[in-house]
Amino acid sequence: MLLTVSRLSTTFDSAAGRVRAVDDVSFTVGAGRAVGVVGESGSGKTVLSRSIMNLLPRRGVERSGEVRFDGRDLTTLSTKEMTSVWGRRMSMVFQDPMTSLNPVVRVGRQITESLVHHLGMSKTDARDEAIRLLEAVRIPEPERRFREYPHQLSGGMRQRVTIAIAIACSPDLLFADEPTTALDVTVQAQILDVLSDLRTDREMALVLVTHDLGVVAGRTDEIAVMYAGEIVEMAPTAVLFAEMRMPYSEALLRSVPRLDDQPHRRRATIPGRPPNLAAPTPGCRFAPRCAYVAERCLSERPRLEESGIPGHRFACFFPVGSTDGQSNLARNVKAEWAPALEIITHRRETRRSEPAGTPVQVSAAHDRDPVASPSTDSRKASA
Amino acid sequence: MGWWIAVGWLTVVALLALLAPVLPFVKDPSSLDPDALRQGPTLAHWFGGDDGGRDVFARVVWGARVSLFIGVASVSVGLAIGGFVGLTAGYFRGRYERVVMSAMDVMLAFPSLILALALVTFLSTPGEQGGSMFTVTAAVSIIAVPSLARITRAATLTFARREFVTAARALGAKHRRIIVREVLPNVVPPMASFALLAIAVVIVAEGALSYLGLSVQAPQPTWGNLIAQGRPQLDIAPHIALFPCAVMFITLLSLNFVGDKLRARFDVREVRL
Repeated sequence: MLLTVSRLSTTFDSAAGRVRAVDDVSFTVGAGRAVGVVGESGSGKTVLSRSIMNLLPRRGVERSGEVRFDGRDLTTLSTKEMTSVWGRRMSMVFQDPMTSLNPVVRVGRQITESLVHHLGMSKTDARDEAIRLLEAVRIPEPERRFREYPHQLSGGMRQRVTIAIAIACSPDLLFADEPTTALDVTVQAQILDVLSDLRTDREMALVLVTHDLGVVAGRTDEIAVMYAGEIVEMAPTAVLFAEMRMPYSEALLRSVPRLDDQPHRRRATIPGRPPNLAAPTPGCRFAPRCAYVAERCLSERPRLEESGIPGHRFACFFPVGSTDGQSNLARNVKAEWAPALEIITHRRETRRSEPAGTPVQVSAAHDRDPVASPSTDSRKASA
Repeated sequence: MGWWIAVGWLTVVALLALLAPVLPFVKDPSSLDPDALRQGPTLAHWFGGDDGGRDVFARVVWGARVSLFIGVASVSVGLAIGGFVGLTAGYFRGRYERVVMSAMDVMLAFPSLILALALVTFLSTPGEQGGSMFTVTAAVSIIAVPSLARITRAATLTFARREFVTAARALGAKHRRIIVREVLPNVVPPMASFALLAIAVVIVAEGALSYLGLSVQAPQPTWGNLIAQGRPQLDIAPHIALFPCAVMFITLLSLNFVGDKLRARFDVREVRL
C-alpha cells in the first residue's frame, strides 16, 4: 500500500472548545489508485487531507494516529524531513486557484521553481518541461501563458496551472481538495478529466476530496463518505452506489440533481445542520438528521464494520435496506406525518358529515392543501 | 498631471544634487562675492547671496546632497533591518514576533527627536562638534527601523496566511525560500510606497537636527543649517532662509504625493485580481 492511514485524529483548540475535526479515521490508498473522499462542508475532509500531508498550522492543533506513506510514518517526520516528501512524493491541488497562485509571480516561474529546486534542472530545461506540463493540463498557447501573470488567466486556466505546479515533480500521490468547487460547471468536467488522465498517464495515486458524489462517481476506484470527522461508509465505487448502506450516504446521493428528474422538482436536502464538533454526543453523529433513527442511535455510537462485501465498511445500526432500518423508517415517517394525517382524516370525516351539495371546488381545494404541505419534504415522500 | 510635476521636481532636485560638482551653473558654495552680500535674486545669483556673499542657489543644491543622501541612505538601512525584522516576525509569529515587535514598540514610544539627539551624541566621537555624515545617517536609520518593521510585518501578515504560501509548502519549499520568493514580492509594493514617505520624514528629522546644530557642521551646507543661518536675518534678507525652506517644502510635498499615489496604486485587493 502506498498510503495507510490508521486511527488518525486531529483536534483543534477553538473559541468554542476542543474540536475533533478528524476522528479516528483509517483507510488505505494503493499506488495509482483513485480514492474519493465525500462529505458536506465541515465534515473534516479538508482537515483530513491536510493532516495526512502534515500541512496543519503548528499551534493549537493536535494529531494522533499513524500515516504510513511508502513505509515511513509521516507523523514522526520533522518539517525538514517533510520537505523532501512534499512536492516530490506527495502534492496537493487546492480549492481556490484565485488564492493558491502567487499574484505577483509569473505563471512560468511558479512552475519552474520546484523543477529547478527539487530536480536540479537547468533554467532552460525547466522552461521546456514547464511548457510540456502546461500542454499536459491542456492549456492552449503554453508559451504565451508561461509568461503571463495569474490575473491574466481565467479560473479554469488557473486551476490547470495549479495542477501543473502540483504534478511538476511527478508525485506518487496527489491530493485534490475540492479542485472544482470554485469553477464554472462547464469547466469542472474538463478539470476532472485532466486529473483522471494525468493519473493514468503518470501512474499517480489520487485522493479526490469533494462534497459532490457526482464528481467522484465515474472517476474513482473507491469512495469514503465522511460525516462529522468520521468515515461513515467506505467501499469500491461500484459497490457503494449499488449497495449503499449508511443513511447519510443515501441522503447525499439523493441530493445530487439528476437529468431525468421532473422539471421543478424540489431538491432533496438533508434537514438540519452538521453537528457541533466541540460538543460531541454519545450516539451516532448523524442520528439527529437521520430518517432511520431509533433509540439506540442516540445513546450508542455505531462502529465502522465490514458488510458482507469485500472492501465495504459502514457505521450504522439500522442500515438502508435492512428490515430493522425499513421498520424504523416507516415508524419515523408515520410519527412525523401524524399531524398531517390527522388533518386529512379529520377533514374527510367532516366532509362525510356535511350535507350533500357542498361546492365541488371548495372540497378540491381542501383536498390539495394537506397533501401539498408534507410533500414539500420530498426526502420523506420518496423514502 | 500633479503626479508628473511631483516626479519631475524630485528628478530635477536629485539630478542637481548628484551633478552639483560638474554643472557649470552651480557655483562654488563657499566662494565669497562681496557684490552679492545679502542681495536678492539676480541673473548671476538665482536665489541671491547670503550674509557672506555666497551664492544661495549653490548652497541649496549642495545642501540637497546632504539631505537627500541622508534621507535615501538611512531609509535603505532602515528598510534592510526593519524589513528583515518585519518579514520574519510576520511569517514566523509566536514568541519571536512578540519579543521583536515589543522592542520596536518601545523604540516608537520614544520621542523621535530626543532619541535622535541622544543617538547623535552617543555615536559621535568625543570632542566632535555635532555629527558627521555617518553618525547622522546611523542615528536616523535607527529611528526609521521600527515604523518600517511594523509596516512590513502588517503586509507580511496578510500574505503569509494566503493559500499560495501553503501551496508552496505543499511543494516542499523551505521557509527561507517561501519568505524570499513568495512573500517578499508581495510585500515590496507597500514597503516601497511607505519608504518614500519615510524619506520625507527623515529629511525633516535631519533638518531639525542640523537646525539645532547637531547634524553635519557648517560650513558644509545642509537645508537645516541654511535655514538656521538665515533665521537671524529674516527681517533684512528673508530670501536666505526662504529659498531653502521653499525647496525643502516642495520636495517633501512631492515625496508625500508620489508615495501616496504609489500606495493607492499598489493597494491590490483580491477582488480586482
